[in-house]
Amino acid sequence: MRMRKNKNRDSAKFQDNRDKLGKSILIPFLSYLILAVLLFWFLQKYCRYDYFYDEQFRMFRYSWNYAKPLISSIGGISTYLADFITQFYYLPYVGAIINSLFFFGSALGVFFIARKLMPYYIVPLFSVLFGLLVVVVETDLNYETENTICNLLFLLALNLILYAPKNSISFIIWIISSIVIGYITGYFLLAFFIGLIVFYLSSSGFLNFIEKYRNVVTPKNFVLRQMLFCIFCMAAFWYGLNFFLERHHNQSTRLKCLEVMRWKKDWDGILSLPYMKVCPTTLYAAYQNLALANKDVLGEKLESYPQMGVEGLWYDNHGMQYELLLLSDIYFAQGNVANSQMMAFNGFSYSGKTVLPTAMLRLVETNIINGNYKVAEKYISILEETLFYKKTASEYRKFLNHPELVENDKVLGPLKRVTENIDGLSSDIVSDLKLIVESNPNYKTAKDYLDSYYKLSSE
Amino acid sequence: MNKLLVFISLFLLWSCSVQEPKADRQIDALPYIYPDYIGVTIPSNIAPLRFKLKTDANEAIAVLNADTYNFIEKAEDGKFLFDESDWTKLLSHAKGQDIQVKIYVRQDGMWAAYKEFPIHVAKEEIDSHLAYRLIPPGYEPWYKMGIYQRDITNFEEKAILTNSQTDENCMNCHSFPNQDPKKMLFHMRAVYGGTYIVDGNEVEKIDGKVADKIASFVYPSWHPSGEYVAFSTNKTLQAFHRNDSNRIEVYDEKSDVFVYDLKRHKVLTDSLLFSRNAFETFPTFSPDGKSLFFCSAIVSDTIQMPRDYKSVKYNLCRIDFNPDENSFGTVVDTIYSVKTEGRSAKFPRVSPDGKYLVFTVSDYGNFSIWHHDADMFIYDFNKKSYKPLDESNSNDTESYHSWSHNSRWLVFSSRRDDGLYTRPYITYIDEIGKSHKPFMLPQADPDFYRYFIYSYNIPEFIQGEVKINSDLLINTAKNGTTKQIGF
Repeated sequence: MRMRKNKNRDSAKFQDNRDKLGKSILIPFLSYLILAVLLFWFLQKYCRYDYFYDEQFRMFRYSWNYAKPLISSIGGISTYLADFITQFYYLPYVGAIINSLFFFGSALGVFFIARKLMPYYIVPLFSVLFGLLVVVVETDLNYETENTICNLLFLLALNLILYAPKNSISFIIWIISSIVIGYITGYFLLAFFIGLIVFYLSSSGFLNFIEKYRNVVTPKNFVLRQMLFCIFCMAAFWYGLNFFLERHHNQSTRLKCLEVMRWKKDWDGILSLPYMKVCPTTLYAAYQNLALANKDVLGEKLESYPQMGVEGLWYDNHGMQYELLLLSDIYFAQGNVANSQMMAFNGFSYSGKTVLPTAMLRLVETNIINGNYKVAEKYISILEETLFYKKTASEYRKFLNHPELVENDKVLGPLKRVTENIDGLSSDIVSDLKLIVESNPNYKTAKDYLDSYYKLSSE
Repeated sequence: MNKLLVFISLFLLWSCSVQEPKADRQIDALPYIYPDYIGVTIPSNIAPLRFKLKTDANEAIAVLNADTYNFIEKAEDGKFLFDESDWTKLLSHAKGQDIQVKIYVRQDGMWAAYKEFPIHVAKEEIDSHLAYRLIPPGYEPWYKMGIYQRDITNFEEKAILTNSQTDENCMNCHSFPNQDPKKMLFHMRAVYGGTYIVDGNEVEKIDGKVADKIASFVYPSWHPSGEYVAFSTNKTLQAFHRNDSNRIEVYDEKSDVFVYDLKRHKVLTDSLLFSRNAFETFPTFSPDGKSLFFCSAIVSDTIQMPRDYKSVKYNLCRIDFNPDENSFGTVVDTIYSVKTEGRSAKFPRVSPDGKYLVFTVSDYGNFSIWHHDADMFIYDFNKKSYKPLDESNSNDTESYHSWSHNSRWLVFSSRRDDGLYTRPYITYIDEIGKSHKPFMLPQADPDFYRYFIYSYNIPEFIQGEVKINSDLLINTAKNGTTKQIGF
């Protein structure tokens, strides 16, 4: 009799503790915040180039003519918000901060839904996993940030439906959120039916049933289930961590790093990357030699760096976007403005959204050199509506209709003179390079590239 | 009490409405507006010609007067965003007359009035829709493109088919017989390659390869009966200039013309159209269907492309076509001769009333969209003479063009706006074949073209909306059978 009393007392105490733990907001909030801070460190260390890279594929413009068609179309607001958020990836640390916040919001959102629907489980790892999943998919270039925004809005709406004090308020939230989320994201039906399910669960006897069921959950089976669930979650977590660490060393991540350094003109950064020396490829060599050319030491230091033959001077174009943009820079360094423009335009058009601000800046330069001021002005106007390219773009405005200023510019002037000395139809990169060197013997980078070509082809 | 309320309401309405200001001074100049709609001739069923004032002003007001009707519009951020219903009323009063537009600007607390300018409103209406392809004006690859239609009586644009639905392939050369939206054809290249012929709710996919002679169907022109389509078949290549205002040189290494019989699935041709010694291209039927116009460049054996790209120049020619006997004439007339003119003709298009033929002329070659010197010419069949369409030509490229069904409107693509991105312009061609100042296709936002980084390609008038279900087109492309063609 006494034993049964003790057992009942233990069970009641356990449920009391669990209720207290379950109802506390501060503990999960602080836990997820700490995890978010740790995640920030991790993402900054392993994914910062993913965020810099992603930033190029969206362009948020502070103008009504850009905003209006997005805001006035179903699903457009999520694109508008995604563009707005992604623009800040340009800044160091911000990509990691934003993704940590995505994690924090998603994990917390799932946690509170789970706490309401499964009060007899405390499921922190499940919500952590959900939050991490968002962060993982965000590093995929083909993933649209619109989906994360949609996900966060869903979580917010479902929490509001679940935690509304009255069924009538839940009902109103469900209807309004279906319309609002449907308009913002375009997922009307999904918002409606998920809201409907959650509303049904919260308004029917389901939650009461759970409350009753909760009383039959004993400390023993609670702990057992919780442990099994934890093992599953930890396994998934471990798999995810390994995925991140492995992808950090894969070709695609390295390529993103090289691309970011290329458009940030961080030539020393490219030359100091360890894998350039440890496992050189023709692609890495092309970046490396471009960096040397831009530092004006390609001729002198060619042999001080690992070389991969002629292909390492200009990587073969197989139509990939990064190849086109890399070649645009290589042509630009060689003084081949027409081909640089062609490659930049092709790379720029390759992007579904036709943005790529750095390619657009290159088009500003090439069009100014060629005297196509109207087109250059068009691109400048677009870039001037952005936050981070405005200043650079505006600096080119002074060249419009002023060929004499172009002539005197340190970068554009020599390229203009080189271009004026050549004509005819472009054939192949070597013939063009020979023509440039013959017509402009003082243009050093072209000469360095041609000399390097002779050296590497004779080896 | 009621009277007081009415009075207050009227007063509030009056005080909220925009009033025509009294000018403190006159500006002896026309306003600088974008797009330039000063003195243009427009149809009475066109969407509002919204424009932006390109002069800084604290406030700007436009007063539009037509006959007994006028309305006043206040600029928002320098943009005059005329309401569609006000504009429609204005046009109904102005049919066959002028709209007088007066712009007032307030600078330093003073109102100043620019010189009034007219917008001429023609009696003849325009076809309600325009079909075009939107594509980045690029070099080789493409990613996003599509064939769209715009209701030009308002601002509504719809996609007919975009390549996001067809694995990012290339689609081109949309064409309609007699501006009929129920019938059309277009090609897809690479994935799902073939020519797609739409007739009502039916779609047929045909293989462009015919024996060893025809590799693909290219530039089309429907016979007015809708039973034949003239095509060219071209082996087209491109090269890039090292330093030239024309960035790209697109040229043919081989081209011929033939007629495809839609009922019999047969190709008809003739040695005069399918010659080894000439590049024949850009076929187009006359409205009576008895003549086939085409461009032809005589090429000697010594010609080597692209080396000799500047020496290839195209004559504008005509040959009889007898649809009853499926036969061609034995004589080729030359309308525009390279020998006498020294330049190159392309894109002939005959007006549906059969009186005029508009074609493009540039110094050499056939791909005029990349030639800044390309201009439109008009040939008068009665006078048997041609002249440049000076009122519509500019210092930049004018290239592809098509007629409205009533022969009074001509839409053409031009690069005059920024030198690269092709925009559709519409000009009024009057009874005597004179072109009037063209207007750029109006958009809801006057700044639209400044930021839009796609080109309008192959603008074609149509007399209504293309209603073919894009799913049907996609399904035919992906799962449909391909009809084989023979001679």
